[in-house]
Amino acid sequence: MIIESLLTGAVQSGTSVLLTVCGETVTERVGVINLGTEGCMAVGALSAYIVCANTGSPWFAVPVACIMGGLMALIHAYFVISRKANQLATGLTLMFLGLGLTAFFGRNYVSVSVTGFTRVKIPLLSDIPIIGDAIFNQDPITYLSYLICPLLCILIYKTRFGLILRGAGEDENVVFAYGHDPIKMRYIGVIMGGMLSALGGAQLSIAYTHTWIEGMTGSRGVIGVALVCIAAWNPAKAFIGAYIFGAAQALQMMLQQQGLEISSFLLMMIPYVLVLIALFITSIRRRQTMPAELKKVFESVT
Amino acid sequence: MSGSATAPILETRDLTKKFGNFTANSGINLKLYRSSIHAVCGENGAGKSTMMKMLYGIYTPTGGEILIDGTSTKMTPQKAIQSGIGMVFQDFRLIPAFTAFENILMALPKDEARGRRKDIRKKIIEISQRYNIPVDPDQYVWEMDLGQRQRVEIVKVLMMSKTRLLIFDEPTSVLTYNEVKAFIEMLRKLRSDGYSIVLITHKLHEVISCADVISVLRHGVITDTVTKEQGFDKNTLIAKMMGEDVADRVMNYAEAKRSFDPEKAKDVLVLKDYCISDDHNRCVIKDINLTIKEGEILGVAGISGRGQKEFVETLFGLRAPQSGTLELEGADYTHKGIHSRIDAGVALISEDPKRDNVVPGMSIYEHMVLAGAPIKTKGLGIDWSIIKTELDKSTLVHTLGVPNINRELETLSGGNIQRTMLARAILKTPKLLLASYPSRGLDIGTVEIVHQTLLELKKKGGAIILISEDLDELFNMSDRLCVIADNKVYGEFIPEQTTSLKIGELMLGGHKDE
Repeated sequence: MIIESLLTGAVQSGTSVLLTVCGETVTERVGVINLGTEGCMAVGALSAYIVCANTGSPWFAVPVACIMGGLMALIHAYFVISRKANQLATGLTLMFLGLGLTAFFGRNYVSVSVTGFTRVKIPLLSDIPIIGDAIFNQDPITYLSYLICPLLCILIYKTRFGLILRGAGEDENVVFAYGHDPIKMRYIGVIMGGMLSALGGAQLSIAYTHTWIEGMTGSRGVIGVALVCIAAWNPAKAFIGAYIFGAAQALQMMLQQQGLEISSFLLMMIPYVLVLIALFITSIRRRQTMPAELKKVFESVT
Repeated sequence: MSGSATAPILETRDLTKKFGNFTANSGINLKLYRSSIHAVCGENGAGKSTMMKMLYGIYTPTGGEILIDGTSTKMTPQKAIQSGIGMVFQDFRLIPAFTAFENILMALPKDEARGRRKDIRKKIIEISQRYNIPVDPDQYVWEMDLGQRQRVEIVKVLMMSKTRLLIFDEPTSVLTYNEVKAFIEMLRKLRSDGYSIVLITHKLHEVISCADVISVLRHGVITDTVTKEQGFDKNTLIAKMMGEDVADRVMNYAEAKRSFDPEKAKDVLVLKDYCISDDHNRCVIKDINLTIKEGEILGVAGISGRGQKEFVETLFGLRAPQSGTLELEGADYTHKGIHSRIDAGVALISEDPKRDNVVPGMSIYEHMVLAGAPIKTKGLGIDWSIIKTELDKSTLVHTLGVPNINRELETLSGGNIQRTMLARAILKTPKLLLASYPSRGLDIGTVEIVHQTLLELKKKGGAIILISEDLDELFNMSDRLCVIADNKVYGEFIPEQTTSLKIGELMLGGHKDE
């Protein structure tokens, strides 16, 4: 019983991170790092919440959230691709911009409650022992995330479009020499990343917690950036880190509910310590998988 | 392929390119025909690359015009691909993280890439079999050596169905002795299939057997164009490439070799059961047992990427050996660091000085002081002015043609960086010089100067480990030869008692008889 609720919590809490990891993977695959995913996520979470509260339709809220997140990412794209601004500085600024904007526009929604998405039980599959309830009794956005991961894999690894997309992240000159437009590819990658992060944010506010609190993303976006490395820039592996983080979150809350005499601040550190451990383990991996253009971000300022 | 062979596919009229005040090319007139191999020969800096980049539309000419099938055309890379001009770049346009197949798929024009993956793959195999260009579509480019990468690049150009003219930029510089032969064979086959081929090279002797036309480029101008019917004379062509003055000087390698007497010379470096490991801690060369004496040049042959880099870096102390011992002049240095080795008189010329030695923003003289030039102090600091005047007076710096020492090293061309780093390594008169490919990519005149510099060091008693792929160089320079292949060191061989064929075979496949 404890294991089942832990797994359910892992998926519930991990979905938003999973979507962010997928989004940031696409972004980094085109050679851009967006530390502002946290901002995109927060904007997605709030805009979904506002739409949901005013229209009552979560299905309408999802596309709005994605568009808003995409717009946030567009700011990043314009600065770092067209203006060649420092990617790290721009990303960090975007994160605080997103958090600030949502704190301001969300202040009237803190006490508003929404129904949003509820958990939908899939017959038969949800009866599988132990994992059935965790995987097949979830909200629609989580089900959507089950589809998005494999679809992204196909897009990135199996299509020519994905090939050129990855090419833009490896060597823009080569891509350009064969008549493709690396700039366009980068814009697409960054905006897709922002949209997926925002979808993750929407899951958090209208499908999982059904509340809006300032700063509710709780650094999930930043953790998502770290988890991209653990997934080795491969969306197929994104779920590993995301669900580990989700499970740690769930465990932390369960321990708090048990009334353990450990400071809640210490418990709240568990997920981050786990991510560090995971980063340590994956850093032992030999093969270099980081997109080559991304290395430039860290090697030179321009 | 059919059609008349009399009309040129591509013609240039008075093509000129200026960079500011510098004229890189002027008045270039070329006619490129079907089923013909046109070699353009010239030294480094003669303007070969500029010319070729204009043909492919990377540079816009300052004057003159390019005609395709008789029509004046403004070239861009896209236009070139559409017109059937394919280019095999010297620095291959390949993405290392992708497989050969993925690289080819990305390069294909949209309409040709639309086909089924299976058909494209089939076509790759067909082409690679037809022209004997072995390519594994599923191998990652980062796993390939330079020769394999070049083959992917060639297949990629041939996959574009419109291609009818291929431009090769210094194609043989990355190939080994035996690969060059296969490459020339492939060119002949391409020619008989109707392709027009342009070969840009400074290795005249390699193309003289297969070319139909040879043009000599010197100081940006085509000084001579000879056809096969007129007959090629190697010496005349070389003289035209280099200018008469350089061609008259003949190196006397044999005399330099006689200066070494193995009986009297002391051991400088002794390796016992030395094992070299790579970045992944795998053993790349095992059980090396070698002795190098003062005044001796030990040539190390081998296809690049067989552990040569790890070998010299381990000797220099940049890497730790897996096992075995290293002695310098009788003292055990196995576990001593780089600094004590430098103090003991070891110097290293890296295989890629541009990658390994350049500190961005620092000038040449600062680089010299970083390792090499003796430091003069003034009070607590360095007396830069004395160092600068001494460097300016140094004959070594002058013979090697090091540019103005106040320039930033980063801004120099690859060849100039290479020469500067050679000068730096030799300034201190090292007791042991680890020289990786010191003449790779340099033109004939400069190679001679490099060789002379090395031989002078040898006369002064310096021991040299010369890593190279160029068998002529190895045979001319070395007192003894060994070969790195199959994770082993084969040898030693005395150059006068073996053949380049034997060494070439060893490089490719290791020892067949053993």
